[in-house]
Formats: sequence, C-alpha cells, structure tokens
Amino acid sequence: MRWSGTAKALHWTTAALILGLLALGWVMTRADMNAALRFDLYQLHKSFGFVALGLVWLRLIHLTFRCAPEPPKSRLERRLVRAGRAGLWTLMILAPLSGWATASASPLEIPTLFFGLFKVPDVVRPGEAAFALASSAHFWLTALFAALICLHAAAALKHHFIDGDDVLTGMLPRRRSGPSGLKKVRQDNVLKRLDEVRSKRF
Amino acid sequence: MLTSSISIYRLAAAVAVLTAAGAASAAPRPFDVAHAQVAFDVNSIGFGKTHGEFRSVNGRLSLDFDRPQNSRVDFTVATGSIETGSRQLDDYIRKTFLDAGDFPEMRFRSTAVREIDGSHVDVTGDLTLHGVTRPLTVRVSVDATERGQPVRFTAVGVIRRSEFGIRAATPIVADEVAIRVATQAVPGR
Ligand code: HEM
Repeated sequence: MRWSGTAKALHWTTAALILGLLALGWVMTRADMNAALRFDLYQLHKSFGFVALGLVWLRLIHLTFRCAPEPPKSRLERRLVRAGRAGLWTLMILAPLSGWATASASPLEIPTLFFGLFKVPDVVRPGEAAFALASSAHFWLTALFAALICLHAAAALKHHFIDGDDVLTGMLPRRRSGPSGLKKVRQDNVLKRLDEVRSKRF
Repeated sequence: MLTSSISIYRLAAAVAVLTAAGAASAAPRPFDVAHAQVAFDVNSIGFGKTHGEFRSVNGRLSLDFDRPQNSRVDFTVATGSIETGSRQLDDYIRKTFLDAGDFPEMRFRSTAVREIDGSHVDVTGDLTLHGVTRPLTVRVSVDATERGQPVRFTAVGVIRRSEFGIRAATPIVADEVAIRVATQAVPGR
C-alpha cells in the first residue's frame, strides 16, 4: 500500500512537530535557564502545539476521504493495528488539548500568543487545582504518546527488516524506493514510445 | 566631620580637582547622572530567576562628600522601559505586575543619608511604585578611586512587591525583589 503524497507530507510534518514538541516540552520544564529564555520556549511550545493540533484535524479530514491500507491477515495483527491507530489518533488530539488546558489553567495567567501574533483564548479558568490536574494530564498523556510513538516506529522497522514488506517504504518519499505505481506506468509508456520511434527510423 | 578614611579623602580630592576654584565646597553640589542602570532580580518556583533592567532612568544627585548626610538623591524610572531579554516576558511584566499603563513611573526620593564607613552609606527614602509610596533603605557603595573620574555608586536593596500592591503570581513568583542601581555621577554645572 502506497500513501498519497498529501498523506505522506501530513504524516511526516506532524511526526517532526510532535517529536520536536516532546523534546521541547521536556527541556523547557527541566533544564536550568533564566526566566526570559524559558518564557520564550514556553510560548514557542504552545505555538507549535497549536500548529500540531491544526495539522491533526487536517489529517483526520484528509483520512476520511482517502482509503487506509488494507488490514493485515492475522487476527492478532489486525487487533494491534486497530489499537495502535486508535491510540495514536486519540493522543494526537488529547496531547495538545491537555496542553491548552494547562496553559489556560496556569495561575500565572500568562497569555498564549500564537507566534506573538494574536492571543489564543483560554479554555479553562485559571486556578491551582485546575492547573495541577491539567498539567499532570498533559504530562502522562505526552509520556504515553512518546511510548506509543516508539512502538509505532518499532513496528514499522519490523515490517521493513523482518517481514520485508512495503509498510515502511509505503510512507517514505517515492524516490527512495524507485518508481512505481502511476509514475512507473508512465515511464514504461515513454520507453515503449521511444522504441517505436527508434524502430521506425532505422 | 573629619574625613579619616582614605576613600572619602580621595573623593574630596576628586571633587576638589573637578571644582574650578580648586577647593572643595562645603555645600551639596549637583551631579549629573550618567550611565544609570536600574536592575532587579526576582526568583520563582520552577521557572528560574528573572533578571531585568529599566532602560529609561532620570536621576538627580546632590552630593556633599564632607557631610554625606546632606546629600540628596531623586530618581525617576519609566516602568515601560523594562527589558528582560524576552519581549513577550517584558509585555507580561508590564501588564500583569507593573500596570505600566496606569503607573508609567516609579520614583525614589531620599529623605536621609547615613554614613556607614569610608565607602558606604545607607540612603533612606520614599519609593513610589505601582501608585504606593513606602520607605526604603538601600546600601550604597561609593567608588571614586581615580582622580578626575566620575564617581561610581552601587545601591542595593530589597523590596516586598506585595507591600506595593503587586501580588500577581504569588507565591510562584517570589515576593522579594532585589534591586540594584549602578550609576556614575559627574559634577553638573
Ligand atoms: C502534540 C502536541 C504536544 C506535545 C507532544 C507536548 C509535549 C509536552 C511535554 C513532553 C511536556 C513536558 C511535560 C512535563 O514534563 O511536565 C509539555 C509541557 C507543557 N506543554 Fe505541551 N505538548 C503539546 C502541545 C501543547 C499545547 C498545544 C500547549 C498549550 C497551548 C502546551 C502547553 C504546555 C505547557 C504549558 C507545558 C508545561 C506544563 C507544566 O509546567 O507542567 N503543549 N508538553
């Protein structure tokens, strides 16, 4: 199964964003730094978090109009695929939403400025209890997300190196795995035409 | 008062050199403030230290090196001129802590100067911040080791922002704010 160019582009941009957000979230809450740098990193994290949230909705909409790859043969694998997919989609939505709740609930009442352009509205009233709840939800959801992403990547690598199928290459940019599909058909036609032209001339 | 300490002696000498007449005058002399740096540090739980400076400072000094207690200080700082290294943090502090729109200035006016030793004085005065005026004492170290050079002052003190009605984000952001003012004073005309 080969994904469309749009599906691939959406997959890899969200992947890069989410991995970046996991790393940034981890660093900005733990590393030793002055408050000015931390403030800017938090704002960056929140802004990119909203980009990720927006892209996830785009991906969902896109997915409903496009077919997903055919399910695997074995029952266990089918179940694992379904669970993994449900988990990843749920976390793609809940991770940023819980972050939004965290930022809104913060007793510091720091406005969330989308790349410094405009203020994003708050979704929860600020307060210590709400913040404690939202921030631990954001922590555990993103930790679970990171674990699931590791499993997701491990599964893709297993398909490629152990099963030797095209599950991984199906999500990679085309030129990596050589021409196939429509492009291949088009190339074959061109070659055929070339042969015809040649045979006519000589 | 006898100037027994070396640095006060040097100060007097520096003033003497700078005075056209060549003799130290007994009355307080006006000084121009050059390179005033008004900085603060405040701690927080989990976010690190915030260090900031105010870029727009106007100061008037009237100094009497023979009788430091006759000296006077009057500083006005534009609250909007805060700089922390993050523009968004500046905006946040201006709005949430300083209310810079309603209180565009803070001011310190000395009411008493007490000599501690040859190079230190305690300056007590009224600090107006966030619309509230309260007494504040800062420890000032005086450095005028080189003849003919501007006199350097470094004042340090601590305020409790809650006493000035600035209660936002407590206790995550500490109540105590350390203040440090460094100035160079040159004799005025
Ligand atoms: C896919 C999207 C996101 C991912 C993967 C992500 C990941 C993370 C991670 C790993 C942390 C560190 C958690 C901890 O150690 O406490 C974190 C913290 C944080 N995130 Fe996100 N985040 C995302 C979206 C967002 C969004 C959209 C916002 C806000 C609008 C946000 C706001 C925050 C805040 C305020 C913190 C600090 C929480 C605290 O101080 O306890 N995040 N994020």
